Amino acid sequence: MTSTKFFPDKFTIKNYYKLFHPKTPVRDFPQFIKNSFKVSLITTIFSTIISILGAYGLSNLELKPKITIGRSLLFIYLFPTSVILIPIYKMFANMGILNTHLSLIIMYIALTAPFTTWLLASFFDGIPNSLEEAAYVDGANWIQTLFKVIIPLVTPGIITIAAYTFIYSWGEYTFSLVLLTSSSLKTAPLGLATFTTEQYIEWGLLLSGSIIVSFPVILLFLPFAKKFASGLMSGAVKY
Amino acid sequence: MNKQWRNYLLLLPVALFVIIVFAYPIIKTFQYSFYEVPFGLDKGEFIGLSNFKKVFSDGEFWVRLKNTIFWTLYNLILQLVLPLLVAFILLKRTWLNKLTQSLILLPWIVPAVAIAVVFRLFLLPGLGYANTLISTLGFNQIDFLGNSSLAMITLVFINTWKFVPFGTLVVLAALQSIPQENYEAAQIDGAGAWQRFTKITLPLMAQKIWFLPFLSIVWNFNVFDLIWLTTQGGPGLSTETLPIGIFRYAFRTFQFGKAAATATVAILGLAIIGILYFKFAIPEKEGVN
Repeated sequence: MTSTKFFPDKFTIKNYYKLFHPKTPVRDFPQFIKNSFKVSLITTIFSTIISILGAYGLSNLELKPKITIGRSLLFIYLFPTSVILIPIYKMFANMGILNTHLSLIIMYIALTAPFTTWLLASFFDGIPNSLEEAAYVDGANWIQTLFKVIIPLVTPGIITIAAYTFIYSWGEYTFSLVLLTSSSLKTAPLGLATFTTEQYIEWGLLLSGSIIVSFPVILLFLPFAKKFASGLMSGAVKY
Repeated sequence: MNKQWRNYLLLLPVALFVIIVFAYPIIKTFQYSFYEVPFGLDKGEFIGLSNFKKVFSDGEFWVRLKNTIFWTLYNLILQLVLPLLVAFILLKRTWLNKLTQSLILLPWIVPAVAIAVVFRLFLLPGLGYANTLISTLGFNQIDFLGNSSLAMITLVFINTWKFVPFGTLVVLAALQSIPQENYEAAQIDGAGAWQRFTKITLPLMAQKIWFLPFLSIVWNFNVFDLIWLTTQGGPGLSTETLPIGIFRYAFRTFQFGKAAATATVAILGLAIIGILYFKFAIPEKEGVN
């Protein structure tokens, strides 16, 4: 066995250099990062728009359907996705979009939007009705009211759910493994994971890659850490 | 336009995604479990219960089922006890606790692949910090993930480490929602610390966090990424749970029918747990969104 030390004794950025100057397309880490940004950004934009619309609708429903639909959306969050791997694969194959970023984006919107709709609805609930009514009195229709009066007031909520969606899509592994096969399309977690199944594992490279993959989500998470925690906590004791 | 209809219309996009990606596929899973499903686009042919017979006569299925039960149970126990302990520590409102409360979610948001890599390296015999420490202290090194009798419990700890932040915040929210007067009144009546805990804290908290054990059961049952990225179900079959099995049948040995049958069994198992849980654990009080 090789002798090891508790603390490494040589500082090096060789691993980072190697990651960003790949020699083969199988290990094209910069491409993986680009793919991840593309998929996560598009998912975040669409999922957030869908959630804003849904949350506004949910928030304005009568009490009974509101509770039923709210709970159903929350239960989707619990859904054991491993039981639908095969139909998902077949469905995207039938649609001819297997091994495309589109399939992944559709999947990630579905995995995030129900929960973020539910979460955002409680932000809409916090807006007093009198504000909306005042806008109607001034002659605004509901679309104008939504965009001019209400959305500016729930901006913190919208930023929170957008950050959540980005973080989720950025780190997702299972469906990217099922849906993507081309090296050039792989997202960062999937691309990085292929490094771990090789005969000889280069730990330095793998660890640098893990740090780079974690960096954007940590950066995005830190400013919202408190919001996330309090949002989760207030949502958690509602039921 | 009628206002109620407008609200439903606004919910339509999210509903469509739910139907396409969750409702329709789960019906398909049931259907596929009765069909000989080819890998390509063809529809396949009805073969009755053959897939189930094949799955049940496959010894690996029973190993996976046993592993899944242990995996879910061990995680459940740890994930009920640890968040409770951590939440009590964080209950006091000091600045350090407030900071911890915000940052505690970090393990929950870091991509699973990074967690898997760091823990694999950390626990690696020879190179890993954990084993370097063990041998420095004069003990024999331990192959945590490579030993078939240790791999499962090691993975349980890694997985629980990832879940604890979430559980802690939920428990903490429940604890903070208990009115302080209850404790003061009990103290005046001469109730000790243990009595206050069992007679006030636990019952009131149970009302708020009754769904947490169920959440833990379903989430842990479903864990695929962390197991696949650390042990791939090995060594041997020692960490193979049903989701790993479903994936292996479907995308490694291309037996879609067997995979669908396994998934169907899993759905039915979870549904039974869910029905029993909601029959016996749901609190009397009706929640309001």
